[in-house]
Amino acid sequence: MADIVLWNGNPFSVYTRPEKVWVDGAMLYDSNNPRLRPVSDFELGQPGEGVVK
Amino acid sequence: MRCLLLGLAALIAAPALAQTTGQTTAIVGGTLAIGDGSPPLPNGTVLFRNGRIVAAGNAVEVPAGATVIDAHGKWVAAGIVAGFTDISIAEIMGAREGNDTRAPKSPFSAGLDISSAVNPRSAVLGLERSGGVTRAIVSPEAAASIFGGQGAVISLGPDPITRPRAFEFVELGEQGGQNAGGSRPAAFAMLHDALAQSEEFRRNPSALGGHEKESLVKRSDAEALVAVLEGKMPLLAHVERANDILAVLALRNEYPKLQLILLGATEGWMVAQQIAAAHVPVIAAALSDLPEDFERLGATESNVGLLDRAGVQVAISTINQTEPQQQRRLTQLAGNLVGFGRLPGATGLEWGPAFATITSRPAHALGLDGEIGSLRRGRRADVVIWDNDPLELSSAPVAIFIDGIAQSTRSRETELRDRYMTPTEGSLPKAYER
Repeated sequence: MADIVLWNGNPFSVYTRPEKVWVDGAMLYDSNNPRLRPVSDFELGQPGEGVVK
Repeated sequence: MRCLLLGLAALIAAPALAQTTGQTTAIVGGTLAIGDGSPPLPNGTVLFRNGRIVAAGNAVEVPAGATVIDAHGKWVAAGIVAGFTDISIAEIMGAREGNDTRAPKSPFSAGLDISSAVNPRSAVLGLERSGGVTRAIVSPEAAASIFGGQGAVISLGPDPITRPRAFEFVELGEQGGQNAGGSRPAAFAMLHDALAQSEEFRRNPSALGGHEKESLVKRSDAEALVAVLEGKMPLLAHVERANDILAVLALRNEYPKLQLILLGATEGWMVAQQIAAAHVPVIAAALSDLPEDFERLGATESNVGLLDRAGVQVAISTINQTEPQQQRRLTQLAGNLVGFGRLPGATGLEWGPAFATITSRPAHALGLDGEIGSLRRGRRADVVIWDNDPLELSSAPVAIFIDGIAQSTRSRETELRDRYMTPTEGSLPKAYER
């Protein structure tokens, strides 16, 4: 399965965050692309909607 | 110059070295993490004498006769000040009788003095100290009232109480509402009535009843709340919801001398400007990012960064973290804030302010930043030498000084680890090895 994480640094470092995530080869998260930063049903219409989680 | 290029282990074996009155200790060559918000400073020197910092920086001369510790390749950091803890007043979860944090059946509340429960021999101290924690804010929890009682600042070294009765703890959010009988208005009614009775007591001490079984304010409670009203003892208020934060800030309209500190403040980012304008420090929940209850619907990892950006003096604590709330994890939580700052669209902290959230800023919140929380001149010499960047997961302290006195870096946990590290087939059980 092409489940791959591109980290923005050493994955064991406290400073590191995922940059891109692929599941079964499909890119489902991209920290640089707001369209690939999902907002859950719960957040929708709540005071924190749109604030980065 | 008496140059003792000691192995750090040897230093621990001879703690008397640093205790000699008048003797200066110089830690040279390390990267300094001063704790005051400044960035790490490579190749610096820290001097301390008689339990106090004399100097820390790049242009510090080592005086003749000083005991010199070589810290090249290491980090020399201010000891961690843990922002909101039960260190030394609770042993483990689930053992009620060994836990002095709450007193649900006591008729007393605001007057309870947690410093009388501090146990400097608690096994917890060794573990926390081995993670670089040198001081802790210890707070009672509120149970039968909105008030928990008077918290303390403690040392994890030989002299346990740094400041008794350092603050009064009060619940004014969802928990406060429940404690007061079921709603936020009930919590504020209890607060105003307790403060009014305390004000009457201040004017005429003999007028206070307080002996009836159901009385809201006992004598010791009134004494503590008078100190709060006069601004002599800060009021640490636990609130999470934005509107509850504003309600706490508004208390100063009625009680102008109140010294307020906000605890938790998960939705603080929504009212960050108001908090900053009121000059009220915050001991925030670190990385509270899930809407686990209705008062935290606006939870976001950007909270601390946004509060800082608005000019709030924000520290962090393990409140709202999953139990057990080990304070040695504060370095990781501060490191997360740095990492979060590198995520597009998020707001975190630079390294210096992130380290300050677990050193000088909790001290500042209690008005103790002249005494603890940084390596600036005159502060207590709480100094930790780390093998690398203290906020990194793989780093560990190799030497710890509290009030300038070398402390053990070992704990019950290291004893157990070492006992079982090397199993030997055919030998007696480990309990026979000493």
